[in-house]
Amino acid sequence: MLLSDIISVIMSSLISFSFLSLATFGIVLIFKTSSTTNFAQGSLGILGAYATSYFIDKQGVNDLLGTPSVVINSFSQLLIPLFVGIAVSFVAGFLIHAVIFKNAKYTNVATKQIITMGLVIVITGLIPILFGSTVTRVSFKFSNETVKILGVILPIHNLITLGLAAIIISSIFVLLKYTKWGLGVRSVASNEKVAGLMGINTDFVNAFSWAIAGALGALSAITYTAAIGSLSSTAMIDMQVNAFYASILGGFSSFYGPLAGAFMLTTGQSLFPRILVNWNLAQWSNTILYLSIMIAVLIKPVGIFGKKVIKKV
Amino acid sequence: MRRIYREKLKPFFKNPKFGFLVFGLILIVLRFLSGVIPPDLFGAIVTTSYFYLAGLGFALLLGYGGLASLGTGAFVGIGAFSLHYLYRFMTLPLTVSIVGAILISITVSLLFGFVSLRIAGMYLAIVTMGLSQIVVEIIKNIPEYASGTSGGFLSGAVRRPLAFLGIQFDSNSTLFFIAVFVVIGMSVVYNLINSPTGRALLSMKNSETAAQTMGISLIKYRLFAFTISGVFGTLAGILSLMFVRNADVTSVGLAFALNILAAVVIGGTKSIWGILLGTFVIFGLNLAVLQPLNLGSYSIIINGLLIIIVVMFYPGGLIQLFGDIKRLFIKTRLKLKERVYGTEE
Repeated sequence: MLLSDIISVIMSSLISFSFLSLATFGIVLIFKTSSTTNFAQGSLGILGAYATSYFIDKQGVNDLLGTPSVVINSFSQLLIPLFVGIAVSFVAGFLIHAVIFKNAKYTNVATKQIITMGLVIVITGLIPILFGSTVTRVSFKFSNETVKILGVILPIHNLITLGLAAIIISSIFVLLKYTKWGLGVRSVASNEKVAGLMGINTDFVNAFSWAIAGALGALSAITYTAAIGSLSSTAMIDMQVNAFYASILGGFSSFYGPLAGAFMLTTGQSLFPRILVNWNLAQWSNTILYLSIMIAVLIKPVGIFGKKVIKKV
Repeated sequence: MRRIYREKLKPFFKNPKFGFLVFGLILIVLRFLSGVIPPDLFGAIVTTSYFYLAGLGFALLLGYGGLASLGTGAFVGIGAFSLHYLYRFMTLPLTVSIVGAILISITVSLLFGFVSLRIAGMYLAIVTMGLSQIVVEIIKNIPEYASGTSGGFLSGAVRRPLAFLGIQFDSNSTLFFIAVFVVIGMSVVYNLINSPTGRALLSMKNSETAAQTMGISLIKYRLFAFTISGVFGTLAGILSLMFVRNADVTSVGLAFALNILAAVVIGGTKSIWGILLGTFVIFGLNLAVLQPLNLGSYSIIINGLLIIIVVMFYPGGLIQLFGDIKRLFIKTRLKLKERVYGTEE
């Protein structure tokens, strides 16, 4: 393998990592605070992505073709719809906790999962009614240009996303470590009842975590759908599956484990086809990747970076 | 005469399995009424009755095992495509093809169930969500199905009409197969939930740790429930291929799995008849009532909202409504009597 091949594998895995890490972090945040696996993470993000796309369309980008009928010349024309989209998912996440999870009487782990699956159905049904019945829309892009780094051609849009994801993820880690909200999240994550007794407003912590997760999902969906150039209500399913597999691989018990898992998964995604093409098996790379993750989990059930949790009866 | 009725016939009529048999007979009678019933309604009833099998299997997993799975669509796909491949391209007899499809699904469910259930119960939904992606990819990698659809039995180079024991049958006659499988399926589920296996599953649902302490092997029973639900899903896929005469990978994915989940949750996870009601609400109502009224786009939202509302406030499902209405009726009648005749004092 040549040096340029190695660089291109690393760069492409880093770029997929930037989308995946945002989605994964949202899932982990909710898993930690609400102790459920959030299947609506992708759909929440897509809701924000549709809002962004809608507001760009309002500024004059052609609905079907995605070609701008009005030239976008200032950065704020992109930035405002971006923030609107993130805000929509932020509010939606907050409402999901405040309206549904707070009032749910008969919940356990399985029923919470089912509620999030119900949310997927609701959001998927809501999108065509809110934003029109167009199945596929072209979302926005930071920039259409490409740049050549060390012999590898990369779109600038992806590099900006990578930078954004790095800043956001690291700032959330700082927030978790040094703010009162972060302390609340960590204590709710370790034991919700005791945290409540110690005077932490667990409802607020949970609702705010849902909101943050929604915002992260929106950013992930907006940038990812822009990178692949198509936006539909099912566009994030692959990302969601990958985020879950990454979380299992890394182990749900810590915040950094799933992120490490996500990086390993994206590396595998860009590496496997290159190796398998020698045996004419490139089209099976996703299947082999998922199966190898399952073998890894079979060997270490709590995940590579996970710790075993022992429960009392 | 009366004595024979009381001692022999009455217990037979009161037996829940008699209800299952009647349901099977109704399905067979429906086959002969296919020209009379409007085609929309007929299609809705047949669709409901074969997806009901998938729902039954899923209910065993969710209502009794407490495990949510998103792999039902994958198993329906495995059933439809492997039957098609075994029957048409490997030219095996129909019965052998059905058994082959079921064996494939058992292998897959053991493989994926073992890994995910070994970690934790709630990871099953995650792993099976990936399973549907993998199944779609595998089907599309088979050269005959590169387009994503299977095609019927009479088009293309290899022609082989669908025949059972040498007798060709049309699409509507699939109802005979559906009737047989549904009655068997209902009886199997009924027997299972009233057996030690059902009680073990129920105890695991309430507390994993407590069940484990009582000596119940979590992985064994969960894997059993998952495999059974996989087989039922596969049967639904087989019957759908026989009726529709075509299979499509787009109906294998997440959306279908969510529909089955919705059917089971809305109808009532613990009631055999409730699941039938739920399946009709999801698959039949849309086809027979909402789409002709141009309300098709709202049906998805209604399904989603119904799931959330049922889980939040009414865990027994829609079937519980009948019981509650009956109780309310008795209560009001009592109150009315009291008002008319006065209380006993």
